Order: sequence, then C-alpha cells, then structure tokens
Amino acid sequence: MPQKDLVVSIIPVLIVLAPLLGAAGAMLADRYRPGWRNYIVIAGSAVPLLLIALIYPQVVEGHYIYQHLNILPPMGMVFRVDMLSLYVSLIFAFFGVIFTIYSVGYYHNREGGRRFFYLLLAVIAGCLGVALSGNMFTFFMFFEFMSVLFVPMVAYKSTPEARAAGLKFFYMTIIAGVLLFWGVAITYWETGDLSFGQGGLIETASPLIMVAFFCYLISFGIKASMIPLHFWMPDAYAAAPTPAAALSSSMMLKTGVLGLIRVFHDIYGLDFLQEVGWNNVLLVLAVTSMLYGSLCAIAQDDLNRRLAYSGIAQVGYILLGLSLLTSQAFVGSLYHIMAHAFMKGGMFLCAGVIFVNTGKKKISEMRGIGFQMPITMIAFTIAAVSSVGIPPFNLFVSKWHLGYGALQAGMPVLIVVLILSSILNASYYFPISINAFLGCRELKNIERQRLLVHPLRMIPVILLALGAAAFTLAPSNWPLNLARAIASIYF
Amino acid sequence: MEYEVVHTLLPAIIIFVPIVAGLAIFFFPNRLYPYKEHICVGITGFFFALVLSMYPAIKSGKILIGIFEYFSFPLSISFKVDQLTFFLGVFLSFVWFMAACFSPGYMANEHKKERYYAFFLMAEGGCMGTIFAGDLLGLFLFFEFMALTTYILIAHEEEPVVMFAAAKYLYMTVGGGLSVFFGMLLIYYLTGSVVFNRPGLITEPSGLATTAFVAFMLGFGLKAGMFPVHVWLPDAHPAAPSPVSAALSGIMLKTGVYGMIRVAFNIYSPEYIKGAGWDDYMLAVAVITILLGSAMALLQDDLKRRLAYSSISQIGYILLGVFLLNEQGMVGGLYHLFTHAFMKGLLFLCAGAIIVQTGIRNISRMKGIGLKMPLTMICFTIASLTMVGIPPFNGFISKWQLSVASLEAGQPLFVAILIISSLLNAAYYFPIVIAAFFATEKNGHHADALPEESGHPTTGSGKRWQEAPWHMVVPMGLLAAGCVVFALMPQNWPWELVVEAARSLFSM
Repeated sequence: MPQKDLVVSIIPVLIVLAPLLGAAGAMLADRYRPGWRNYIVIAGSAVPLLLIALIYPQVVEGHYIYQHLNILPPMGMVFRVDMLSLYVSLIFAFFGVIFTIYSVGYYHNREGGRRFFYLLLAVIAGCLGVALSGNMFTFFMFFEFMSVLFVPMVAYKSTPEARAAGLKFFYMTIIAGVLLFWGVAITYWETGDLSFGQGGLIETASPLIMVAFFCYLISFGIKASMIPLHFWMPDAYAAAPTPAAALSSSMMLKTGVLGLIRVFHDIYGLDFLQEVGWNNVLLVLAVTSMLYGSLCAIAQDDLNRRLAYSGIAQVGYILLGLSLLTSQAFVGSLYHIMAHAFMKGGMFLCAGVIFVNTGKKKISEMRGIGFQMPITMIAFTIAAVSSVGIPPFNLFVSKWHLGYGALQAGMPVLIVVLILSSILNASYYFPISINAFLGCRELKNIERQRLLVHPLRMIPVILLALGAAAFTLAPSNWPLNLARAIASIYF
Repeated sequence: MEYEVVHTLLPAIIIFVPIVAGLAIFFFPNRLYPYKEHICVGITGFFFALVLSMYPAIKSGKILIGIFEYFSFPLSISFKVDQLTFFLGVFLSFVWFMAACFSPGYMANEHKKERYYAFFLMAEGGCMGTIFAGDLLGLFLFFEFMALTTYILIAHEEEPVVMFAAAKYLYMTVGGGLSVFFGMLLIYYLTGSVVFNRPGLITEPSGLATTAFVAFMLGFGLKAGMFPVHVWLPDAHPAAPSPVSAALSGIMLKTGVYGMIRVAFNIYSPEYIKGAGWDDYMLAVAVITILLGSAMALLQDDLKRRLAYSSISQIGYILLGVFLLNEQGMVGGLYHLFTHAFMKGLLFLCAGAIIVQTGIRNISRMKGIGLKMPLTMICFTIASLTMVGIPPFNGFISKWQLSVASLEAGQPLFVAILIISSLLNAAYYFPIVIAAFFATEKNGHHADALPEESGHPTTGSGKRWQEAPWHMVVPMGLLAAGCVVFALMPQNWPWELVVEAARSLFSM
C-alpha cells in the first residue's frame, strides 16, 4: 500500500490525553470545587470529539496523521490515524460524550457516582487510544489499559454478584492479555515489524503464525464476546451500572472487533488469509454467535441480560461481515459497528432510565411502563424496530450490505441465517415494546401516571433514537460513505 | 403504445400527507384531540381528491414519475403513477375514505381514539406508498411501514384474544417482510437494480432467481392471504375494529397482490415465468386458496371470521386472473380486485354497524336483524349478490371475464372451479340474508340466546328500529352503490381503467 502524505501532528496524543486530564480534573474538583465536577467531566469527553473534527478534513483527503512518542523503549508509542481509525474514533468519541452526559444524569441525586466518572473517562481514553494506535504494540498497551480499568466498573456496585462478575471479567481480561501478548510477540519475532497500514506483514504460513492467529482470535474474541468466549458478558452487564454496560456494548466490544480487523487486514493481509482460509473459523463462530446469542436472549427475563445476549448476536453480524472477506460485507460490518452502537447503546440507556426511575429490572414487571415513560419506551421501540432491519433504520443498511457480501462470497445460505436471526430479534424485542404500551387496560390510573425523568438522562436517549434513522434519511449517508472509503482502501 | 413520462414530485408528496397528519395527531394529542375525527376524514378525503386530480394526465397516456433523492439508502427511491397504480390508488383510497368516514360512529365508545386515528392515517400513507413506489426498495419500505402501523390498529382493543391475534400477525408479517428483503437482495445482486421496468430485470434462469421468486411469493402472498401463508388472516381480521377490518381485507390484502403483479411483470417477465413453468404452481395455489377459503367460510359462525375466510377465497380469484398471464386474465383479476375492495369493505362495515348497534357477532343470532337494521342489511345483501356474481353487479363482470380468460388460456377446469366457488359463496352468504329478513325468533328470544352485554340495546323481538346513524349508513351506501352503479352506466369507468392498466402491463 503506498504511503501517502504523512502529517506529523500531536493531535492524536491530545485526543487520548484529554479524557485522562478530564478525569484528573474531576478528582481535583471533587476535592476543592464539587460544583465544577460535572462540567469538567463533560468537557473532558467532548474535547476529543472537537479534536477529531479538526483532523477530519485531512484524513478524508487521504493523509495520515502520525505521531511517534519515544516513551516505553524500545518500541515507543505510535499513533497513526487512517480512515479506519478516524471512523472508529469518531464513533467512540461521540458515544463517549453521550455516555458521559448520561452518567451525569444517572448519578444525579444518587449516591456513589464519584469514582465512576474517573473510571468512565479513563476507559474512554483507552478506547480512543485503541482506535488511534499505529502499531500492534500500542494497540496492545491501550487495550490492556482499557480492559483492566473496566474491571472496577463492572464491580462498581460492590454487591456479591457485582464482585463475582468483576472477578470473572478480570480473569478473562488476563487470559486475553496474555494471549494477545503472545500473538504480538510471535508476530514481531517472525516479521520484525508491527506497524499497521502496509497491507499485511506476513508472507508465508508456518505453525507459529497459525498459533499467533488463534491467539489474536481468542484474545479479541473474548473482548468482542464471541461464542464460545462470551460467558463473562451477561453477568458483567447485569451487575454493572447501566452506563458501564452501555459503554462496553457500544465501545469496548468494538475494540475487539477493531483488533480483528487490524489482524485480518494489517497483520495478515487479505491475500494471505484467502490462501490459508483461516477466516472460515471466524465465519463458523460468527454464525454460531448470531443464532445462539439470539436464542439465549429469548430466555432471559432480566432486561440487561437480554440486551447482553442480543449483543452477542449483533457482534456475530459484525464478525460475519469481517470473515467473509468481501468488500460489501466489510462495508456492512463497519456500518454495523455504528448501527449497533446506536441501537444497543440506546436500549441500555432506556434500561437505565427505567431502572433509575422505577427500580424495575425484570421484563415481566414492565407491563404498561410505556404509560409512565412514553418517550423512553418510544425510543426503545425505535431501537427494537431498527434491530430487526426494517427500513429506514440503520440496521437495514448494514444487513443489506452483509447479505450482498454473502452473495459475493457465494454463500446465499448465510442470508437465511441473517433472516432467521432477524426474526429472533423481533421475537425478543417486540414483546417488551408491546407490553409497555398495549394489553394493559386493567392498569390502575396511578400506574399510568407519567414519571418525570431528569433531562440529562433523557437527552442522550432521544439523540440515540434519532440516530437510528438520521443517517439513512439524510441526503447522503455519511457513515456509509466513510465505510465505503475504508473498504476501498483494503479491497 | 408509448407512454409519455412526466417528472413531478406530486406522487411522492401526496404519500406524506396522511403520514404527517397521523404523526401530528399522535404527537400533539392535547391540542388536536377535539379535531381528530375531522382530521382523519378530511385527510383521507383530501388524499382521494389528490389521487383523482391525476386523472387527466393518466387519461392522456402519461406516466408521472417522481424520483425522491432525499433518502440515502443504498439505492434511491422513486415514485411512479402509471395506469395500474392510478387505478389501484383511486379506488383503494376511496375505500380508505369510506372506512375513515365510518370510524367515528364505530369508535364512539372506544378508548385511545387519538392513537387509532393517528395510526389509521399512517397506515393509509404506508399502503398508498406501497402502491405508488416506483421500485422494489420503495415498495418494501412502505410495505413494512404499513405492516407495523397496522399492528397497532389490529391490537386496538387490547383484549387477550386480540393481543394474541395481533402478535400472530406481527411475527408473520415481519417474517414476510424479511422474505421480501431477501428476494430484493438477490435481485439486486443478480441485476444491479431494483427499479421496475418492462421487460423484466431477470432474463437468465438461475437457482438464485428461482429462490428469489419463491421468497417474493411467500412475502407478498403472506400479506395477500394466499395459501399456505394465510394463517394469520382469519384471526387478525376479526380481532381488529371493523373499519380496520374493512381496510385490511378490502385494501391491504391488495398490496400483497400488487407486489406479486410487480414481481411477475416488472422484475421477472410473463414470458420468463411461463418458460420456467412457475405459473402452473401459482395457479394451483390460487385454486387451493379459492376452495379452501370458501370451504372454511362455510364452517364459521362468527360473522367477521366468515368474512375473513371469504377474503382468502376471493384473493384466490385475483391470483387466478393474474397468473393466467394473459391480458384477459389480468383484466379479470384487476376488475375483481376493485370489486372485492368495495364489496368486502362494505361487508365489514356492515358487520361493524351490527356489532355497534346490537353487540351481535354470531350469525346464528342474527335472525330478524334485517327488520331492525334494514338499511345495513340491504347493503349487506347487495354485497352478497355482488360476491356470488349475479348480474348486473360487479362480481358478475369479473367472474365473466375470469371465465373468458380461463377458456382463452385453454383451461376450462378453472371455469368449473369458479362456478363451484360461486355456489359456495351463495351457500354461506344467502342464509345470513334470508335469516335477517325472513326468520323470526320465537317468543321474542332465540332458543339459546346469551345474556346481553351491558351497554348494548337488547335484541328482543319486535321491529324496534336499531338502524345505525346516518354517518355510518352513508359510507356503506356509497360502497354499495359502487358495487352496481358502474355496471349500469353506459360507460363502465373502472372497466376502462382496468383495460388500460392491463394493456400497460403487457405492452413492452
């Protein structure tokens, strides 16, 4: 791949530093000026978005923003912003702002939100670092940083379940980290290089290379909660505070996916994988995830758990698009990263609003909740309809491209899997919306009264619901154009 | 014959009139609540007038096309009004209008009226968008929109039985929608386009093309109530409020048929389908649908359920006409589509009037009802006569035409099927009519009369006047007139439109 103009700039470093500085500022504010805390937190999460907007024109024109920090010798920290980094970091930064605002609302007038904000901003910084890193080593550093800091977020509520879930996640993180380290080490030993953007470093297959591939697959598969490495996730999501679950679902799962994209397209390269066919392992696992996750989701009564299992199925879509190794499927996969973040993030935020305002976590207790919180449940319904892939919502576009990619790869049977999974989606999301609004004529008037919801909790929910159709109804589909541009670089 | 293409955004804009009005009612319930009935009736009437205003252009052989570039799906969306879609649009929007006029009377004692009117308007927008869409993507978009908004209408009464029927409808229709999605994806993969054109997009036989055809037929057939994917229909149609049943049976089934026509003529082509032998399968399905629907209708005691099964059988007629794949058959199918829209819409409105005025749903308890509600039952009788195909009613014309087309296609067997089915129609409609006018209940009470629901006037003996109010009778009367007036006029206007539409489908 030709090295186009490299622009050396400090901005990628600042993007990662800003949330960390925000976290430090929030600590100081909590000690000396408690009233300033919320503003500092929101500013800390909003600055990366502005900085990305600053470099956006350059990257879209085909430049690479590059920065080599000579710390941590001998490798150093390398930041390199290409189209893929830009796209993913844009999503991460946007959702970082949304979740920070929501967390401020979530902990408004409630006990114990103080440390949560430090962790939140630090994890956002880690996610952004993963997105912007320029070689596998830097990627590994930020990946570990983010994962380890998420452990206290899972265990944040300090209940026995939360501690157990946190511990489970911690062990999984350690396993993922060790395997990733091994994979990086093997790659470095075989090729002497770890940098991205050269269209594949590895030339010939060898047993060690294969071991490295499966190390990557397991390590990132754990993070992306791919079957059969998913078992940390439902527990963690059920136990963690809702903003943490939303953060994990919309952003952290995607770092695992991003890792696999980097491994597929920057470490191993398209031609190599097509030759050896290792991607078929991922294909099988992705299809299993799609169906198994959806089937499990039907059986759940805890809303967070149902969303968690559904997340497993949705990540299956993304991995399917990646493993097919066709350009259209890759576009669908990238678009699905965005679409799923909007859909599932929105659903988790709705679940959080319901929990904070009524204390309800079980779906069976949520009859008629649409009368109490109409806007929240309309937002949830939009996300549910979106998840089935009904136009004009986002997931229609991603399913369209995934299906087209499956046809390009000569596997029309995968479309049947997509449809089956979509029907399953409908069967576990629609009953929630239906019970919220319909079939409850016997409810007492007291149960029909509208509840007041704090606006900082509501605004993110409304924004994410609008995002479900905003891009598809716009004159030109901005994320889709970005995804196509990225696919045209790799294919 | 060459058609002149006129580019105008009118077809695109009018779709959004009812949708925007429905959203306005839904999101500003406090401000608009007192006017919801007026808005609903006014907008549906306005919509009908807008469609009618396109008549001069269509009459002079023009096609109106509006390409709507404001959506950025993977493909753009276009709207198109040609001879076929104008014919469907004008008559179906009239039935919508009548159902809307009927609604205030039926819904007087119902709950959640603002939701009902809001979704009624949105469903109309979706239905008309399905018909006016110029490509498969737009058709699919509005098809799904209509399907989901209709769910709320079916579930309106929120009783457990209703919720079950509505859920059955919802999951089946989602499955049907995904089936169409699958077919559309395959077509796009094979040809790189989903825009309707003539001759069809698919020219080369392939396994994927066959799969796509099956997917389309299942998806659209589900909406149309075709055997074997009709199972949601006998539950959902009776469960809905009667004006919605009229819209479902009279109008929305036709969007499924319309989808099939578009697939058969503009995605594939009649020659291709004949070459592949698929028309034989579809005709067999149509015959099964006719006979099964009629036979099942005989067994029902719930009036609306009987009407729902009858709809299945009538859809079979239309499919028979369409898949004979000749111009005569298409004329017969389309004319029957118009006939059935008016007649079945009318029958459901009559059933609704009876339910509102007396609380009776079962046929066995309708003895002597014609003496209490004479106007309603006269309308019912007219619709029944139309259904059986007695001249000069519309049903006669369509059945005549279907028979002619069957003979032309060398299939005299279908004429026999049509006659058997007409006999069955007579067997399940005439007893209702006869009992309504000529049977009297002994001692003022039916032998196994159930206790009356509270709130409804008792249905005792005597000739107490229980006729529906004028604003319910007028829509029924207009539909009843529509069943016969056109046939008596020197020039049968729908017939002319149908002939034009069939010609436009078969012209290259």
